[in-house]
Order: sequence, then C-alpha cells, then structure tokens
Amino acid sequence: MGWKDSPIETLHPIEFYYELVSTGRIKIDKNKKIKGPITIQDPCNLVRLRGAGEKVRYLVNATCEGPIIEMQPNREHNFCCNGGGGGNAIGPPWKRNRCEGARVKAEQIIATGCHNICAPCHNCYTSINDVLKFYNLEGHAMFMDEILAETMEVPEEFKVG
Amino acid sequence: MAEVSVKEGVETRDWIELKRKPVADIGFDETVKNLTTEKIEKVVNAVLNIGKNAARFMAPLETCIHCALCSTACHWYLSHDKDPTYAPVAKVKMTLWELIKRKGKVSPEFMKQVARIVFCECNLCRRCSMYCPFGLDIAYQLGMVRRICFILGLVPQNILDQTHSLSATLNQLWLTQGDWIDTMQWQEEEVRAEIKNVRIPIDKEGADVMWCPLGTEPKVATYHIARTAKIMNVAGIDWTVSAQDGWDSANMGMFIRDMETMQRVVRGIYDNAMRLKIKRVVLTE
Repeated sequence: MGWKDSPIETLHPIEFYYELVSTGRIKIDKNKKIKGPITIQDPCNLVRLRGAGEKVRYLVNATCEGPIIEMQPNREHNFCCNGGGGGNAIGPPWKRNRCEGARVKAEQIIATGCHNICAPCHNCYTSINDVLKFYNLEGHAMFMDEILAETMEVPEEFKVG
Repeated sequence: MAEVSVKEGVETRDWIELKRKPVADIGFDETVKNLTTEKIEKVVNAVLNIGKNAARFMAPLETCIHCALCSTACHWYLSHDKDPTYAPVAKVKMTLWELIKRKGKVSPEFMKQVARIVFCECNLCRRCSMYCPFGLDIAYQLGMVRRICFILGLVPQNILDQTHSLSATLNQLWLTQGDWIDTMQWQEEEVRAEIKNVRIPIDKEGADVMWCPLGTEPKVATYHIARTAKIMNVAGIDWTVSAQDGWDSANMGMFIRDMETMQRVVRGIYDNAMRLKIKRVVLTE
C-alpha cells in the first residue's frame, strides 16, 4: 500500500518562502512594502499542526510596513477560520450556516481594526473573505504568494524590454 | 425515563432533535431515503468494532468528565451565544456516544442529524483538544463518525463529488491531463510579459523542488500559478511540476475520512516525486 513515513521532505509554502527570504535568495524592495496595519489569520494546519507561527510573522514583518496587530487569541490559540476540515468544500448550500458559525472570527477582526488580513491558506482566504462580506466589514484577505510576488526585488536581468 | 429493552440491552428512548434552520442538500436528503436501521447497524459495528475491541472509542468516552472546558474553545459554541448544543462534548455525546450506547440501532433520521453535526458544525480544528485536561482527541472521534457517514453515503453532495473526482482523476475538479499541461504553458506565456524568460518546467527529472498546487488553481485561480512561477524564477530555484496525474495536493478524502482515496492521493504525489527523483516537495498554501 502507501508509504509508512514520508519518503521525501514536504514543505508548506510558508516554510519554503521563509527559507528563501531568510537566506536572501528573495530580497524585499523597501519601496514596495505593503502599507497599513495588518493582522494575521493562523491556519490550523500550518500553525497548530506544524508550528510555523513565527515563520508567518517573520515573512509579514519582512514584507509589510505594519504594524502587525495580532488577533486575540493568536498563534496556535487562534480560532479556526471555519473553512477548514471540509467547511468550505461542503458547498454553497451551507455558506450561510458557515458564516453564522464564524461570528467569533468577525469579532476578532473588528477588534484589530485592520483592513489587511494575511491568510496564508486557501481555506482561510476563502472563508475570511466570505465572513467579511457576510458581516459587511471592510477589508480583504491576502495570500502570502500575493504579498511576496508584489514586494520582491526583481533583478535587472529579469526585466522585460 | 429511558426504556431499556432487556433482551438487547439497548435504550429505545427517542433521541434529542436539534432545532436548526433546515438546509437542503441532496447528499443528505436523498441518501437518507435508502437507509435502514439494519444497514446503519452493520456499518457502525464494522467501523467501531463494538463488543470486540472498541477500546479506542470507549476510553475517551469514559475518561471525559464533562468539565466543558472544550466548549469555550469552540468557535461554533461562541458564535451561537454559547448554545450548549454546539459544544464539542455535546457533539460527541449526540453522535459517537449514542451510536455506541445503542449499538448502532438507530433510525435513518437520527443518522441525518449526526451527519449534519459532524460535517457542518465542526471543522476538526483540534482547538478543543488543547484545552481538554486529559488531551482527548475530539477531532479523531468526530472524524470516525464522519467515516461511518461516508460509508453510508451521508455526505454533503459538493464534497462527495470532489472526492469522486479525486478517486477517478487524482485531482479535485475533473481536470484532464491535457487541461493541466495547457494551463501551465498558458501561464508561462502570460508571466513572460512581466518577467523575462520565465519557465514552468514540466516533468523535469532531478529537480530540487516539485510544486503541487490545489486543483482549483489551474481551474479557476491561475494567478497563483503565475505568482509561484515569478517567485521560483527570481529566486533561481530548480523546480518542476508533474505532468502525470498526482499533481493535486487537495485531499477531500481526508476530510470525509474516505481513507482509500486519501492514501491514493498522497501516494500519487510521492510516486511522482520518486519517478522524477525530486529532493523536496512544496505543497500549496
């Protein structure tokens, strides 16, 4: 049947991006940094299960002018976005049910007062955007690949033209 | 008072019906019509192994002291004004507990309520286990109830369809191999307008990194592929994506506890990595 242990190392992109930024393979352009206060949604799989909470914060610190305003509670104590564990995938009929169950998340976001929410997970990203819309809140969720692709330094040899 | 059938030792008291807004889902409403108590009993006994070796399920149920510390850890409970029917301990009590107590002799309508509790009112986020004084893994218990529901076919239609897709094509959204390769080449062309000589190497043997996106990325969210291509090229990473099936890191089988599909998805990724002699696998965000 399958493999007993992972035969090859597997990484979440956050861990991979952390490696790229901390070793200097990707340099951040100071002029392109994301402006305004930002808060972080801790994905359960990445933070509670893999313990990469500090790596997310390192990347956000490197790419955003900040300040980071933490949700309360945060890191491995943060609440689930309510999209994980198949929460999003059970489909459109349950969307209202799902948003009602995420009122705590909306309250956490309101308390931070941030409009930028870094949500480095597909489920969290979708779910946070749905919650913001359902509770008529301003702001939007942001992926880490989006932040990194926008703020990284592109060397001369890669420029078109 | 609960009536107890002396012969079978099973309580026949009516179960508590939860007051919830009705939600129409073909996956629940249609499959429940084909269920009978006998079918449910057979599946419950097969999964939980009641009467023979149910220690894995009985131990946490008998260890739980109903302290309700898990309740305030649950976002469903807090979001519904501390309604006790959303508390993790109540979810176990209304599903696994009842199934074991009644030895699987329950009505299809009861199973429908169980399926709604485990699929639509819990995310298996494991936050409750962090506050349990005994560290009981409530997510595991509810996950096994999901397994019972899956074998009975009581699964929300959308997620069951995606699992069927994974089972047939090893990706979440019925993409063919041609669609997948086309999308990667199209994205390579798009990104070339911004970054010079960008490459999305397909099936490159001996690369350092194999990137496995989510099925939704080539289907509806191609900008993720573009961004990843930019980052990988600027950082100068020797990377690749697999051309063969087994490139999708979405695992809906894991969510509904379809262990058979779940292990095939994981194995597909590892088999591709071994075939291409990859050093590390990077899954999607």
